Amino acid sequence: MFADYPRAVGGVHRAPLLPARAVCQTGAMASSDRCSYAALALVAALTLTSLVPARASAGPIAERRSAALDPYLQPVPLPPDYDFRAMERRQRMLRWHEGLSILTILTLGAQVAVGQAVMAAEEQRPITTSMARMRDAHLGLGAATAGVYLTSAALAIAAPPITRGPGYDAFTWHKGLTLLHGTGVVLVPLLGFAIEDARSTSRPDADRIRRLQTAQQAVGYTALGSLIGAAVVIAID
Amino acid sequence: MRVWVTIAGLLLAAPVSAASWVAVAGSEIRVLAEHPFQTVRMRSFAPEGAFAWSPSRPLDFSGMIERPLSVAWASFDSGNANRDAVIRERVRAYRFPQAHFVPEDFRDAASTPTGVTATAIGRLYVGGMMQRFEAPFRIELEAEDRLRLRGGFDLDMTAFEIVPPSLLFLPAEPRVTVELELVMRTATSPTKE
Repeated sequence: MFADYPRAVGGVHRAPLLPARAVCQTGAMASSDRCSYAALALVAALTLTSLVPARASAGPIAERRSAALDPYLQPVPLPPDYDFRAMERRQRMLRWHEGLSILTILTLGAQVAVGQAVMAAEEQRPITTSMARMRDAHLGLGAATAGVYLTSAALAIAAPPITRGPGYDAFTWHKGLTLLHGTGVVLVPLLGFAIEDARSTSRPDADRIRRLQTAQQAVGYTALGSLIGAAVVIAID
Repeated sequence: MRVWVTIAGLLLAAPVSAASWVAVAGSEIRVLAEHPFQTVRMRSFAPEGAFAWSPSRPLDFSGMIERPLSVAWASFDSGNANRDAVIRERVRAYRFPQAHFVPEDFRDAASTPTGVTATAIGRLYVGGMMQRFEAPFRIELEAEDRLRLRGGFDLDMTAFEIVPPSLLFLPAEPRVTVELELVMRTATSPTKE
């Protein structure tokens, strides 16, 4: 589709920064007033300069003046509710959200793997010291997963919203999958507590423990799958 | 006597006077951006622009531009509303809602069996930044009152001080491919497709 068109050879040719725009690039894009005042002051100064009788340097001055008055470089007024700092904050928060979500996938994956190993080890009795250590690791990973997950979710929820159009897309799926992994991350520790509760009775019911473990395993895999899915839909579309 | 000379002059000039061509429905601008995980295709069906050109003098581009080529960032759609919103932020669309290309000169004009090719030299405005730019294009006359203008070029967004968006800590390529396909009709012909 793209091969049939004449193409530019040289690409972009960089031009010197233009005065009005250069003022606007000083990290103060949000302070529209400051930017506008600076541009106005610049235009006024250049206009006054142009009233001075022509000298040898009149050429460059005239060029700079025309650049400052270039209609395509004049910004439109910022929307009254537009908050530039909020947009920067949003980007920062979502970058943390990305990082913590990857960490959640890793810790939840490790937790699921250790949980699987605990289930396999419990088939062979008696309970050994290494199995007890695995259970502790499983519990620790669960706590870490919950902490990282909740922090990541809080960042995504608290990030300043962006104006987006209607319609379904990858982001809709990303948010929809939250229901699945959010429920999973809440259910996994609850089922874990139920398993511990069933174990700590005077006469543990092995069948009940096994059923609870199987349920926790299914929920854990579902949460892990939906977390990976949420990352993948954003990554590929 | 002077009136007759004027009328005669107008009549002589009429056959070679350039018609005004306006971009109509069916026009499209495509932007192709690459990320390690995905290829993003953004499309806008709302480019605007007008130029004067006469098929009887196809290589004459003097006084061609009547209205520069402009496109609103809000009209671009990549199939993901969130990504579109992020891109609008990156190109500073809240301050500079449109990108413009203002041709100033033309070179390498040549006739081909299918139409005319040339390179437009002008100013490209993106996000409040201007760069001198050269864009080759081709004009194909499809009917008496309808032509198709095609062009394509690569663009380095960092030249406009635009930071490429990143996804999962991997930034998109700063170089994007832009393609335009303008369907243009003479100003007097119906503009509906």
